Order: sequence, then C-alpha cells, then structure tokens
Amino acid sequence: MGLLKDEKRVIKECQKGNIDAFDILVDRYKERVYSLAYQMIGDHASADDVTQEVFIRAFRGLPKFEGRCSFFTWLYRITINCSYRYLRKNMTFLKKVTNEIDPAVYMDDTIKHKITGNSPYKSLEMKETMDILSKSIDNLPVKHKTALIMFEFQGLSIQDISDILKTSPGTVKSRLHHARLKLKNQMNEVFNKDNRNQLKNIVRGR
Amino acid sequence: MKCSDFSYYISEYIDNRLDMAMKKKVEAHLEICKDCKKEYNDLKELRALFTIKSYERPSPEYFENLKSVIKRRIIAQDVVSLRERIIKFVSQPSWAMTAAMVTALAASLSYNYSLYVQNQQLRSGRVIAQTFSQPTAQTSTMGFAFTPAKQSYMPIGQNNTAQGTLYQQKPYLVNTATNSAQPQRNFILTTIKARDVDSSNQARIFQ
Ligand SMILES: [Zn+2]
Repeated sequence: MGLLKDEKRVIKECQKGNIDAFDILVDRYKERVYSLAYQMIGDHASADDVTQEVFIRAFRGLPKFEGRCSFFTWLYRITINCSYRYLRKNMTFLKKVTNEIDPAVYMDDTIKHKITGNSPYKSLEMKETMDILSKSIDNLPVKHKTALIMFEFQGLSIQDISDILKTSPGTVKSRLHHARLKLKNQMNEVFNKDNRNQLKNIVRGR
Repeated sequence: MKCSDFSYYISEYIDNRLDMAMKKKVEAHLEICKDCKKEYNDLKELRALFTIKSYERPSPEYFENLKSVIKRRIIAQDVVSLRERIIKFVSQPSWAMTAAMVTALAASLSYNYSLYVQNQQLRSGRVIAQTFSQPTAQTSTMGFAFTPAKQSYMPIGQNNTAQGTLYQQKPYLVNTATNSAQPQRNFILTTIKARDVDSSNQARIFQ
C-alpha cells in the first residue's frame, strides 16, 4: 500500500516532466515490460527496441494518464500495443525460430525436474524443445497468444489481463483455453513424429 | 456432459478456478475418460514447459543499463525537437518578414519619428522605399537596412555608379527615396521582396 501511495507521488513528479523521477518507474517495471515484449516478439534485439519505446511513450503519455486504471495496467497496455505494432511492421522478416537465450542457463534442478519422466515433450534437448515451443506459440492467433503469454509467463490474474486488454474475464479464459489446446495439438503433432532429424529440420528450417 | 463440454473445464480445473461441485464433476470424468485424462496430462506437461520458458531472460547488465539508455533517448528527443522548432520558426521567410515588419514598426513608434513617408511610385513597381526624418539614429533590424539617404540610393549588391540609367537596366533593383531638401538627415527604410532579389541578396536579407 505504501508502495502504491509512493507511486502516485512519483507519477505526479513525472507528469511535471521530472525525468529523474521516471527512473524509479523504469526500475520498477523494466523486467516485466521487457519480458512481455520478449515473449510477444521472440528475440532480444526487438524486445529491447520495444521496451525502450514503451518507456519513452509512457513518459510522453504520462501527463494524459488520469489514474482511472493502475499505472501498471496502463503500462502493460502500451507494451501490448507497441508489440502488436512491431509485429505488424516486421511480420516479413521476423520469421526466426530459435531462441537466443537458453533458459537452462538460469534454471536450477528443481525446475528441470518439472518435466516428468513420461512427458511427451522430452525426446529432445531442452533448448530444442523450447525452440519448438516458441515457434508453436508464434503460430497462435495473436489474441490467443497474448492471453497465454500474460497468464503463463507474466503470471497475471485473469482480472488483470481483462483490464489490460479491455475485455471480459470470460473472454480471457476462453482465449487462454483455446491457446492451450492449439498449442498442445501443434506440439503433439511435432513430437509424435518422433524423429530427431525431422524435428531438427523443423527447428532450423523455414 | 460430453467430452467436448469438459475441455474448457479441464483448463479451468488446472488453474484451480472451479467451484467445488464442478471440480468434483471434472475429477469424476477424468477417472473414467481416457481421452480427457490424456488432454489433462498434456496440458499439465505444457505448463511445465511454460515455467521453463519463463526463465529466458537477458543478462543483468542489460537491465542495469536500460534506465540510462531510456533517459538519454528522452533527453536527445527533447534537444532535437527544440532545435527543430527553433529552426523551423526562424527559417520561415513569411515569419521573418512579418517579424521584421513588426520590429520596424515598433522601432519607428518608439523613436517617435516625425515621419513623413514618400511612397514613391517606383519604376519597377516592386520595391517600396520610405524615408524618415530622424536626424541621427542609424540602426538596422532583421530584413531591413536603415541607410542614410543619398541623392541616388545604391541598392545592395549593385556596383554600377552610373546614375539615372541604372534602374532601366536593372528593373528589379531598389529605387531611391530622397528628400532633396535635407539629404543628410534622411534615412531610408528599404524592404526588398525575396522573389525580386537574387539569391545572394536574399541570403543577406534573411540571415
Ligand atoms: Zn472425456
């Protein structure tokens, strides 16, 4: 609560054009904004671009921010809009499929063991599995993809997501469910072929 | 309920959003239906992959530098936009002309010139020359030159000293305004329309 009160004061300062006060907001939200942009777009350089754009836009737009929603909802909305715009603009050459960041580097063993022995997605190295997952997520309709990323990777609540996307919680739940089903079907299709070379071609090709 | 009806509730069940009654229904169905059980297991495995994927993150140095990168860009934008606004403002010929006229007008009022204007109908018809009878002050404002009047005024950029024939040969040039009774005490305010002047003169006028 104290943090939120403090945030209101910081926002007021930023609205007056105090760029040093804005540092506090950047520090508080940079990782979440980056991570959302990264999951939406899929590579670091683009996510970096979008993250910077989001914060610059936020600073410019803050004088018009009236506090009708929380700052974080507003900031996420900007992030989603910037990501959509980026995806539309760069649709043609953003066809890359492999992740630049290997999640295994940051994982401890407890997380690695989340993949159970009888997981259908275990036949490949972790990095390759992640590449296929990324590609499958990219193939989702953008609204389904957004709901999935916000829920699964951002850890946002259904209510938060519906606020950010200005839609009903029911719609968010439905999109989330459809995203999961489509993703599962895509993944199963790839993994049921059960052929490493073929999988590698899928990962590297196209 | 059919399997297709259960599908949505399996998702809700995994996220633990169902009330007790519905939860029981789903659990009972998962006990007896192999297909739905498989869907449930697959979705749970998928969630495990999500958890792993959520660990993709850039180096800590990236986040440390981000704040200053953003700040630099905002400041740079401000500098550029301020500079552009100034350049745009100043470089508008119409603005410069208007400002010069306003300045000249203000100057003439504040000096409280006892002025009489001879709006000579110039032969070229393009240039206006005005004379003031302020004896001492010699000043200049943007776009204008207050010059002591001579019997025959030599416009900027003109070397020809042969009087009389000058204006017929060079019809675009400034004509003179004189008060022949008191030639030493007159000042000429010449305004030169940009389109009537060659580019070198234009540059001098508006710089
Ligand atoms: Zn069933």
